[in-house]
Amino acid sequence: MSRTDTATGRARDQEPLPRKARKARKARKAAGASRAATLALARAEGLRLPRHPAFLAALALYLAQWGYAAFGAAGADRYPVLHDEDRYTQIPLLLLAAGTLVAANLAALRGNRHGADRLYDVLVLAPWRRTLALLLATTTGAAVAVLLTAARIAYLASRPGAVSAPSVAELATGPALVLLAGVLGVLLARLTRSMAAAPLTLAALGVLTVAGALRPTSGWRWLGLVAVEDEFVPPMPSALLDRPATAHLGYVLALVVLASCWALSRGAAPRRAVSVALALGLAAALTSGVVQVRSPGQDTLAARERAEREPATQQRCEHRDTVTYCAFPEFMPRVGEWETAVRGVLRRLPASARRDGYAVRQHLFHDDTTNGVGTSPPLRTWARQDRAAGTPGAVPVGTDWGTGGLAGDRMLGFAAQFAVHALAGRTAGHAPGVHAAPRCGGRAVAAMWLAAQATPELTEAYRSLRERAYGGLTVSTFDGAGGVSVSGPGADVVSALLDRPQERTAAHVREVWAELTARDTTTARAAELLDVPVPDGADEKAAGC
Amino acid sequence: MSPDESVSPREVTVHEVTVRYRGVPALDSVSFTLGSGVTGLLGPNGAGKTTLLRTLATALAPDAGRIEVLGRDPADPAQRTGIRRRLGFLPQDPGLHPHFTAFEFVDYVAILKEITDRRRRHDEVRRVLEAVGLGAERGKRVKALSGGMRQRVALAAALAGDPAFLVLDEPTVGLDPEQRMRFRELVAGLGEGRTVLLSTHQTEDVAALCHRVVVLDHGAVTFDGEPHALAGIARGRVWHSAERSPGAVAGWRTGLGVHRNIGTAPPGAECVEPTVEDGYLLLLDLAGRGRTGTEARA
Repeated sequence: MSRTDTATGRARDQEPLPRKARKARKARKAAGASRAATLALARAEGLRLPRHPAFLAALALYLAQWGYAAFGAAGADRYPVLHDEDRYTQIPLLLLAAGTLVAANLAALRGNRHGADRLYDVLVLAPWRRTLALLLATTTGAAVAVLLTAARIAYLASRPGAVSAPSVAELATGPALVLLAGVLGVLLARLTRSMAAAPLTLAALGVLTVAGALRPTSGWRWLGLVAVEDEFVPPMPSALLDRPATAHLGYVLALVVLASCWALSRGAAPRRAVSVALALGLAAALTSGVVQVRSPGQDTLAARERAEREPATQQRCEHRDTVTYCAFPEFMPRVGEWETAVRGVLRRLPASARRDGYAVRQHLFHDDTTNGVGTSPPLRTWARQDRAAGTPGAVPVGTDWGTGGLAGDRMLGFAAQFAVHALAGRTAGHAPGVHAAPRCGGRAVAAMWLAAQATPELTEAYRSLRERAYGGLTVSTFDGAGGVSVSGPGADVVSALLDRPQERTAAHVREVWAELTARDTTTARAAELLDVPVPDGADEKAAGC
Repeated sequence: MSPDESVSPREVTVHEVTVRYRGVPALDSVSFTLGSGVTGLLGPNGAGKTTLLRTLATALAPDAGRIEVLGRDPADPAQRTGIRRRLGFLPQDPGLHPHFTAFEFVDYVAILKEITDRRRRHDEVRRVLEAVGLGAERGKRVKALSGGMRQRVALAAALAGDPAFLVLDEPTVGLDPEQRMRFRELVAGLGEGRTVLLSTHQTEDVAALCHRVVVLDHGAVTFDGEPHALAGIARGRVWHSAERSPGAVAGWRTGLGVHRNIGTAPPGAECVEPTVEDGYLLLLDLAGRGRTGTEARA
C-alpha cells in the first residue's frame, strides 16, 4: 500500500507524519510530566506554608482572639445571630491572611534569598510552573481558613440561643481573602526581591481596611478587603441586610485571578492562556466591583423602616400557655429563651394577679445618634399595630439576647418590663411604655424581685448589675422609656430576698402580695412585710421618692 | 544530531563559543569536546570558568558558537529541556535552604527535575543521600550540618535522577582536607559511565581525579589534554635551590627548607619531577606573557 502511495507521490506528504506524531507524543508526555511536577511542587510548598513561623504566629493570634472573644471580650455572652456572625468571621481571618502573605512571599523569595536560583534555573521545571506551584500552594492557607471558619460557625451554631443561618458567600469571603493574600505574596516576590515589600503591602492593606471600617455606610468600602457594617446597629432580619456578599466574593476571587496572571506573566507563562485568564479576571473584577459598590438601596431602607414601624406584618406568632410570642421568622428560636424568663416571672404571681392574653413582640429599633440627636421608638405606632394584630400591650423585646454583661442587662430589662406589665395587669390599648414603671416602694421591689428570680441567669444578671451600680438601680428596657428602676434601699431588699430560698420567699410574697404591690407601700414597709431588715433610707417619702 | 531519548551520546561539544557580558567577552571562541569520565577545568579567578559551566548547564546562551550536550542543542527549547533532564549541576554556592532537612532539599530538587512519581522519587533521594554518605543524616536540617556535609547534600541533589552529564563548580571550596578527601572519593566514582566536568582551583584534585584537564584563562582555552601532559609543560623548569632563584616566575620555600622554583632553570640547576600545579602555574605565566593557547596546547 505504501509503495503504491510512494509511486503516486503521497508518501512524500505522509512520510513526516510518524515522526511528527512521535514528536507530538513526546511533547504531550513532557507536558504531562511538567504538570505532575507542578502539582508535586505545589504539594511540597503547600505542606510547608502552614508550618511557616509567620503563618503559625498568625494562627496563634487568630486562636487567641477567638479565645478572648469567646471568654473575655464584652459581648461574649451575646447569643449569636448567624447571619451576622458569618461576616464577623472575615476580620479575624485577616490575621491569617497577613501570615499567609508573608509566608508565601518568603517561600517565593526562598530561592533568591539562599542563592538557590542558580541551581533552580537549570532544572527542568520552567520558572512559570514554579510560580504556578507557589500560587497553588497558597490554597493550603485558604484551606486552613476554611477549617477555622467552619469550626467557628459550627461552634457559634451550637451555642445556646443561636438563630438564623449563615450566608455561604460571607463565610467563603474570609478564606478567599487568605487566598488573595497568599497570591499577593507570590506576586510581590515576582515583582521585587525586597523582603520589605510584604510588610509594606500589609500596612497599606491595613490602612485600606481601617479606612473602610470608618465609613460603614459608604458603598466604596466594598472595594477594600472586608466591608464592615455599623456594628452598633442591633441584629436585623437577613433580608434587610442587603449586603452584596456574593458579588464581593466574586470580586475577591477575580482579584485572585488577576494577581495570579500577573505573577505568572513574570515567569514567561504561555501568553495565550494567561491572556485569556487575565481578560476573564478583569471582566469579573469590573463586573463584580461595579455591582457591589453601593449603599443599601431605597427599597432596603423602606423595608427596614416598615420592619421597624410595622413588625407585625412580617412576623410569626406562637402561643405558649397564656402568652403570645411574635418574632421575625429567623428569630423564632428565641421564643424559648423569652418564655423561660416570662414563665419565671408568671409562676410567682398569685393566681389573683394572673391574667390571660400576655404578649411579647420583637421589635427593631436603633437609636441612631449619628446626626447628634437621639431618636425614640415609635411607641404609639407599635401600640396601634399591636392592637390591630390582636396582641395589645405586647411587651417589646429586641433582636439582641444573651447572658452576662450588657446582654444580661438587656435580658434583665425585658424580664423587669414584663414583671411591671404583669403587676399592672393587661390594659388594652396601652402602649408598651405606658405602664409607668414604679421607681420605688413595694411595687418596685416586687417587680425587680420577680424579674431577678425568674431564672438563675437573671439572678446572676441582677447581682452583676448590683455590683456595678451605685445607690439605686435601673435596668434599661427596649422601649427606651426610662427603664425599670429600684431605689438603693429597694435594691438591698431585692438582694436580701434573692439570698433566701426562693420557694419560701415566693410563698411569703404571695401572702403579702396585695399590700406589697399597693401604690402607697414604701420600701421600708415592703421590707417589714417580707421580714427583711429595713435598709437605711428606706423611707422614700423622706428621701423625696 | 538526534534528540531521541534512545540515542544517548555522552559527548559534550563546545565549538567556537563566545559569551559576552556588556560587550566584554567572558568566553572567547572556546572550543573543546568532553567525553565520559571526569574532566578538570582549571583557571584563575575571572578566567570564565563559571560562565562556561553556566553555559554548558543551559543557564546562559552563547552569543556566538555552538554547543551540543549529549547530542542535543540547548538553543532549541525542547532539546534544552531534554538536556536539563539529564543534567546534574552543582553550582559554586549551591544555596541550600537552611530550614530544609537534607531529604527535603534533595526531594525538592528532584521535583524540579520532574521526577514526579512520589515513591520513586523518595527512593531516588534515599539512594543519592546514601551514595554521598548522608543516609543517616537525611533527617537533619541543613543548618545543622557541617560545610562538608552541606556540600554532599548539594552533590546528592545534583546526582538525583542519575544524570548523564555532571557539572561541578568548585565543589571543594571551603572544605577541610579530610572533607576534601571524602569528596574526592565520591567524585572519583562518578566518572564511570557519565560525563563529569569538574571546575576547581585544586590542581591536586585534577591530578587525582581527572583523566583530562582544560585550562581556561582570559576566556580562552590555554590547555586541553591529560593532566600528566599539563605537568609535562614544566618538565625541566622546576628546580630546587637554597634561595629563591632570580629567574623563577614562581617559587616558594617548602617545608623541607629548600626553594621550589618554576621558570627557566639556570644552568646546572637540579631539576625535579614537575606536578600538575607546576605545569598550570607555568602555563598561566606563559599565557600572561602573550603566548597563545594554541602554542601551549599539548
